[in-house]
Amino acid sequence: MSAPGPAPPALSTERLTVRFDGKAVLRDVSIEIPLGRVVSIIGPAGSGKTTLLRSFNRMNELIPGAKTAGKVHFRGVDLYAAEIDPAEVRRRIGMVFQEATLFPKSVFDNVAFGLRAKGVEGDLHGLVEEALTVVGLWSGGAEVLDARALDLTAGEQRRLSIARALALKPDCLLLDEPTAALDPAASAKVESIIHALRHECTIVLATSDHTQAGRLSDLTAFLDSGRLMEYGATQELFTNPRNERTESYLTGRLP
Amino acid sequence: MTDQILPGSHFDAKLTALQNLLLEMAGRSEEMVRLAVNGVVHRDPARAGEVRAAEDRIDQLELQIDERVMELLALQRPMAGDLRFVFVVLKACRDIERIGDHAVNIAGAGERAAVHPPLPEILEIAEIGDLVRRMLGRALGALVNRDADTARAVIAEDKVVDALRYSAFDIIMSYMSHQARYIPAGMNMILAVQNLERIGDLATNIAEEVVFLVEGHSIKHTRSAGPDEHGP
Repeated sequence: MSAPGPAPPALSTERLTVRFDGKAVLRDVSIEIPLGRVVSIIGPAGSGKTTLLRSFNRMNELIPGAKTAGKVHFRGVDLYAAEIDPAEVRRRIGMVFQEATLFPKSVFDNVAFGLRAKGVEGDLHGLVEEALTVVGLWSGGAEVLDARALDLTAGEQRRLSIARALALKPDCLLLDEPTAALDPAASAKVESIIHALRHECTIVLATSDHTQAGRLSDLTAFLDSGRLMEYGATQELFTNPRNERTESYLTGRLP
Repeated sequence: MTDQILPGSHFDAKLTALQNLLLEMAGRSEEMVRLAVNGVVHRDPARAGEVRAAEDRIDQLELQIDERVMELLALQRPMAGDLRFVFVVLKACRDIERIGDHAVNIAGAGERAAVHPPLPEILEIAEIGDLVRRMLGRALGALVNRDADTARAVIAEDKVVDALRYSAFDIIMSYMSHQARYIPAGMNMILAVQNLERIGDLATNIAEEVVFLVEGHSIKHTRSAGPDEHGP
């Protein structure tokens, strides 16, 4: 037995470099996501936010021409080790994408999809309804379960995507631009769900809306041209950034 | 994606306009202090009217700054150094408004001094007046130039204000204890000195806010504001 020490971070990278067709999109990024915290990744378009998020659950390797160097750990375990099953990784580290990825099926089927893929058998209603309740889409009416997912509003579709990830009871949830293109009311609902989920799992979100990072996260990381420029407590980073590039980005003066 | 606030030049112009309002407010409050001290030293009641007239403009400027700060916070969402700047302007604006109030109190002392049997001249009063006005001016200069060193020099001068105040008190007390007819004028002078001392404190507050603006951490309520010492 090893001596008791501090719990390993939920997720961490060590000198992570990701290249697409030889072009480095992430460069030498080392970051630790503490267990049970909400961490935001901010940065200009093309800074590597989504790529960093995707490296946490091995989504980048699905992209042809992608090459990853460096380490990614989940609770101290090397995620990219040969014996690790990527499907299991993606089950425990759920992801909600920026683009709608719902199937042209019912609300129920969309949430049940992941459960069935995982091999959960029998009556899935309890699990589906629990996930839908968390995101505020279900309050007891069967008609919601049968509604076509693509008939929902944009905000409801985003919440359904979150429910689909939650049904698998992930340890970590990765959210890419969780409120992009949503109106303020729909955004507020999604943000309050994220806020409530902080007690359920570790959350990493990539966002172009840095005020959202300020509202939701304990820690914020600023990426610029694939490099981690600054990482720390959100309040400190937003009020007194140490890095000039962070200051320029936050104040809208990045050239 | 809307991850930028607004084009820098437009936003910068708004921040500069806000700073200019604060500078006008500070300039006017400094002039109020000068007039009020003049009224006390020369026992000239006419100065009080001028001081009170200037206070109206200070109040207007305070309201304008409040309004612009609200607008900036709501519409521009300043971040990082810009956020600290807006926060500091709002606090400095309160301090300057209070300086105006103290100048009005001193002007009142000037009116009363004119009707009391005069005290022999107390040089410390004009000296404290000059000193606190200079502290205010330098604190505002430090804000404009983002100059923490000058701000710290202003903070250090507050000790000189305190020393001059006690020296003035000793002199006034000795007059009052020797001749009872000096008591009304002496009490009046103590009030004037006390108000001047508060102006020194408020100029010190502004200087502390400038250090926060430049360095991002507060040095208020620490034992020493010096760069090499740390408070408890």
